[in-house]
Amino acid sequence: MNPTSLIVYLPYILVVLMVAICVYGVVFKSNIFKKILALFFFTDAVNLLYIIQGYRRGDSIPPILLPGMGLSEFTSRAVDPLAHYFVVTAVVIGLAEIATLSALAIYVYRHYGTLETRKIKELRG
Amino acid sequence: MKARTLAEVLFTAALFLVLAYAMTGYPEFGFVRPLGGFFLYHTFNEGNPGLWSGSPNAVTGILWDYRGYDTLFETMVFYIGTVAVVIFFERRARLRQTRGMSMIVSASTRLIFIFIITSALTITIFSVKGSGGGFQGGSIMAIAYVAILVALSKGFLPQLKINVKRAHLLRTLGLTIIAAMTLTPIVFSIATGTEAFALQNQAKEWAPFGFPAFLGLRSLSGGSIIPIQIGETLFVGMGFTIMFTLLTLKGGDEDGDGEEEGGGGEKKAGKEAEG
Repeated sequence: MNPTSLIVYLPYILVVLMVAICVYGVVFKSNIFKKILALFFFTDAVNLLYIIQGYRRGDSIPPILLPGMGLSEFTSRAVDPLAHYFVVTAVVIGLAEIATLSALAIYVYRHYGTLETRKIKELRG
Repeated sequence: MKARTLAEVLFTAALFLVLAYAMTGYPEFGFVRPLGGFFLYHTFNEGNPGLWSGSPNAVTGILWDYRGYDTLFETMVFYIGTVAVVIFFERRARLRQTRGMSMIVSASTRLIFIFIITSALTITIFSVKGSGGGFQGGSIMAIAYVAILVALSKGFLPQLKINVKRAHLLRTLGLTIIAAMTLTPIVFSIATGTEAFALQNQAKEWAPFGFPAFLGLRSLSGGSIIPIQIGETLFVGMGFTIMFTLLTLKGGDEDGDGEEEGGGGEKKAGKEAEG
C-alpha cells in the first residue's frame, strides 16, 4: 500500500475507528447513559461515512445552483446531494431516537434508583 | 476483572480490523456517483421541465420532490418518537408559573427568542435558494425553547405562553399543511379527471398538474416545497419542544416540589395511578 492510497483510505479508517469504539461502548459499558451516548456517536460515524462517500475531490462546491452558474459547471463541481439528503433526515431521526431512549432511561432510574446494568441485574425486580 | 478488560480490548481491536478490511472493498472516495449526477443535472434544468424539481438546491429538491415519500415516512418515524415520549410523560405534564426573572432578563430573552425563531423561519423559507430546510429550521426553533429552559428557569416558560398543549396544536398544524400539500394533486386529479399523484410538485408529461414553480419572485421557487418545508419546521420544532420540555421538566421533577398553585389534582391522580 503506497502512501497516497493510505491517505485516500484515511477517512474510512477514521469511520471504522469510531464504529469500533462505539460498539465497545454499547456492548461493554455498564452505564445505560454511556450506552446511549455511544449509540449517538455511532449514528454520527455512519453519517460521516455518507458525507465521505458524497464528497467530490478538487474544486468542489455545495449542491446549490447559484444564479449565473451554468448547468455543466454545476454538475461537474457540486458534491453528491443524495448523501446530504440522507444525513439531513438521519440526524433529526437520530435525535428523536435519543430523546425516546432518554425517556426510557429516566424510567429505569426511577424504578431501580440506578443506571448501572450490573446493579440492576443484582436487584432482581 | 483484568482478563475481562483484556477480552474487551481484544474484541474491539478485532472488530476494528474486520471493519477496516471490509472498508477496502468500498470505492475510492472523491467522485460523485451516477445517481447523484442525475439529481444534480435535473434538479433545476429549465431545458427539461418534465424531470425538474424547480429547486436550485438539489438537497431540498430530493427531500420533497424526488424522494418525497421517503421524507414523508421519516416524518412518521419522528411522529412516533414524539408520541413515545408524550406517552411516558404527558400524564404528569403541568408547567407551573413562578415569579420569573427581572424585567431586563425577560425582555432580552424575548428579543433573542424572536431572533432565533426568525432565523429558523428564514432558513426554512429560503431553503430552495440557499442551504437549509424544514428539519434544520425545526431544530433551530426547538433550540429557542431549550435555550430558555436551560439559561433561565423552568418557571419562565409560562410567561412565553408556551405549554405542551399549544405545542401540540402547532405541531398538528404543521402536519396538516404537509397532508394538504400531499393530497392537493389527488383532489385535483379527481376533480378534473387528469392524471396526478400524491406529493406531486411539478408537472410531468403524463401528469399535467403542477404547483407554480415561481411564486412571483424568482428567488422563491420550488412549487410545493416551501409550504411543505414550513409545515415540517413547525412539526419538527414543536415535536422537539414537546420532547425536551417533558424530558427536562418532568424527567427530573420526581419530588413534586411545586404544588403551590391550583390545578394539581391531575398530577396527583397521575402519581397515584403510577404508584
